[in-house]
Amino acid sequence: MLKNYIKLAWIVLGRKKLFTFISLFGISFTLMILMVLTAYFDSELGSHPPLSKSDRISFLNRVVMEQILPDTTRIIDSTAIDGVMANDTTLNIGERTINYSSSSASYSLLDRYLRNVPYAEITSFFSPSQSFDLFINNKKLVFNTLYTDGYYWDIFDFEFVEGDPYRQPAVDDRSPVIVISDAARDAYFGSGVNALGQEIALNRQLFRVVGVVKEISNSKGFLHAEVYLPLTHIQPGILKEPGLMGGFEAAFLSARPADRLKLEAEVARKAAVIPLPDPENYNTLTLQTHTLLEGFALRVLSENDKTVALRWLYSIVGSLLVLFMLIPTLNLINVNVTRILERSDEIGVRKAFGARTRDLLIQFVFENVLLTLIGGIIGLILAIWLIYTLNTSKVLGGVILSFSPSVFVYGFFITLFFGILSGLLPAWRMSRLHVIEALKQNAA
Amino acid sequence: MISHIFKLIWNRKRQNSLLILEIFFAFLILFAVLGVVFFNLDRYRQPLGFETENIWVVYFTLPPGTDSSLLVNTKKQLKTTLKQFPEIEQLSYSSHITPFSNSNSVSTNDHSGFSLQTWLCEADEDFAETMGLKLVAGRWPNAADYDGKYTPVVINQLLLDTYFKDSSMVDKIFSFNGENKIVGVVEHYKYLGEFAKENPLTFFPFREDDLQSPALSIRLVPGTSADFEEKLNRTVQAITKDWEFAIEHYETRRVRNSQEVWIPLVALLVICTFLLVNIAMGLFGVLIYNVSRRRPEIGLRMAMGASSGSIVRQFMLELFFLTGLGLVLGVFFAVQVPLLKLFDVPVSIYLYAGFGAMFIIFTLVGLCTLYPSQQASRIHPAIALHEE
Repeated sequence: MLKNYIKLAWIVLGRKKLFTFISLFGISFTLMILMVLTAYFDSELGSHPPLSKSDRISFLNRVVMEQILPDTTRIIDSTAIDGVMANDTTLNIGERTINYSSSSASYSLLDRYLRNVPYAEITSFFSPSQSFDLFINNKKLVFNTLYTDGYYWDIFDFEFVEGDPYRQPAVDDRSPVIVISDAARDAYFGSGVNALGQEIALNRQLFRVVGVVKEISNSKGFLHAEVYLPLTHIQPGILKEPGLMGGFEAAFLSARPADRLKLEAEVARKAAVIPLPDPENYNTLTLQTHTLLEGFALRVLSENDKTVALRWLYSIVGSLLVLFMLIPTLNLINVNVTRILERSDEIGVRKAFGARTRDLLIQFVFENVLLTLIGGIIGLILAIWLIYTLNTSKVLGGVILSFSPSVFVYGFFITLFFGILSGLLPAWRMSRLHVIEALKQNAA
Repeated sequence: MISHIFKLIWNRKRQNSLLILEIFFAFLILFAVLGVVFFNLDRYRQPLGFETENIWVVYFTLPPGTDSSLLVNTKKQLKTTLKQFPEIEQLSYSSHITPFSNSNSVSTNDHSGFSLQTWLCEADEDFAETMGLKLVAGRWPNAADYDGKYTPVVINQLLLDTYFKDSSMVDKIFSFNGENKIVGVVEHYKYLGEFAKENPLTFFPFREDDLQSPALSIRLVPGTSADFEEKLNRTVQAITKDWEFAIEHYETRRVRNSQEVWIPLVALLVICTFLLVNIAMGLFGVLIYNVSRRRPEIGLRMAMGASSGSIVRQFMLELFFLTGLGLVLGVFFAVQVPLLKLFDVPVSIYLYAGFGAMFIIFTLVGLCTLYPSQQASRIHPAIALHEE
């Protein structure tokens, strides 16, 4: 039976080449875009190294100081009552923010108050910092730096190409050790050269390479760097700066995903006990924690509030996807209706010989799914090609798209969904066609 | 004729409704995409107001607790040393709020009921020359102005137009965080990027003894080779000792900054184009089929004396009418966006986007109908009716 269906579908597809081409073009292009999009979101938000534990990590990279004052507005309504003017006064007591200042945290704030937050299994502090210019053979290399503690490597499971990370004791001892990315190694030492134990001079100090990690997308400032150094090597004085604001961020790893919210509540509670350095100008302190997804929304939309950012992200991506998928689907339905109408004679004959509506329905949907699958394969090939081109041309500015199996699985389901959706309506309409009607149309 | 077309459309309402729906969504997408594109192009049209070619910038990060007299001396020494390099034409200190640095500072001043909001920049006396700023009135402050009673400031044309319309403000006193004297007006200074909105702006002096980490913009003699950067790097390092610094090129920063906008724009346009091609091909296929199905009808009409021109007209009108229905539906929804003031976008952008979208859709539909309707007009009545 199945073999019959395939054979039939193949013949039908070959018969009307124009329609087949139109359908395939639409399907494969739509699926290519959808797959590239999934690859993008997967590489930005998926759980793979160095963010395999992303569902358990909370980030803190924004400290907000505000001066919030009660704000009283007086609304006076004048109404004429029995010809006499009367005033009706309403007092509205609200809040008014006068001063607003936000930045990442200072090391002293994190170190003093957020070292032992309940529900946090591991806590790491780090600072994406200024880059170093290095000159090798008259060529300038820009090395972005990230100053981290030893726990950083326990939260983020970087893939080490060579060697191992430095640990907390090395950080405490100010050991001159660094971890570099494989891209930095290739640029500095030459591609594929063993860099372990070699030295790099940064800011007049020699550092020994103890590990080489696989380079990651540069879209995440808390992960991407060419050089990772123990944070004790940061400019002298920065670790002791007394204020609340500075260049540091924190990541907290909770034991279970469910503990994450409790942890964030604990961090928010900490804000209440931290004394403000300048109480005359600022009276409220907020420590804003966020997840990977919330962080993405905040960054992409340059928003301040994570719930607002998330809502915008969902509605924008959702409506774009719906619109983007609707047009090809409608188009496909349109083309399919026409295609199937052409086959009314075949349907009439089959019905006359006793085929049930369901049989016809299954057959048409099957044909359409087969068509979309072919389109899906073409789309997949196009998507792989596009991802490869985007990655090599660096058009996306260092965002590295990966083609993981999950993208393939998503792609397959998107294809299936498409095929069924666009095949169902025309097939249903046609399968209900009356035998006599169908055969008569044929005669005409 | 019109009522006849109405009837024809109504008779095939099922399939036509799908078409209308498709046109409707196509319009919405096109409206949104063109809106975004026109919005950004509108901003891009405004000149930057400064040059980027052959201008570099060094960003310094001072270690905490840097001694102020040491800071002043080091800054002075660095500037005089670099000035002697034949490769360097002019150089200027400013705060870290520099072109494409993504940092900005805004302040609002309420001066006896007159509320003024301005973006703030700080730069020293050589900044206009280094960056190639164009002054439309007055001049850039010089070192002598710094000792005067009032702080010398420069505003941009937009601030003048926004708050002091129709009056020359040069040499007038301008109250903003104290008393300042406006010495000049710059035409434009879109330091946030080519696609950014220009805002009312005031340049305050960046004094020698300012304790902020400075940025040093350096204008090079055209044709300076890239190896100069290593020499510059060594010189800066030798003089500034433990200051951290990084050298960047404004031109590279400009390209990178603009890429953030135009890459998504191009992606959007490419996707949109493919969607339209998709729609066009679908439409074309359906129309070709329709023509072959309606042969008897066409044959009959021709036998009754309709010219081939009128057949073409009928097909075109039918399609345009359908398209019009889809567009009316689309415009109804699209109009809500400016009416509800969802985005802070000038109304003209919506108009351009709306009419642009309509034009593109009509052109596309026209092109897709042309061939099938011509096919229809070539049908020979005798043959068509014979088939019947």
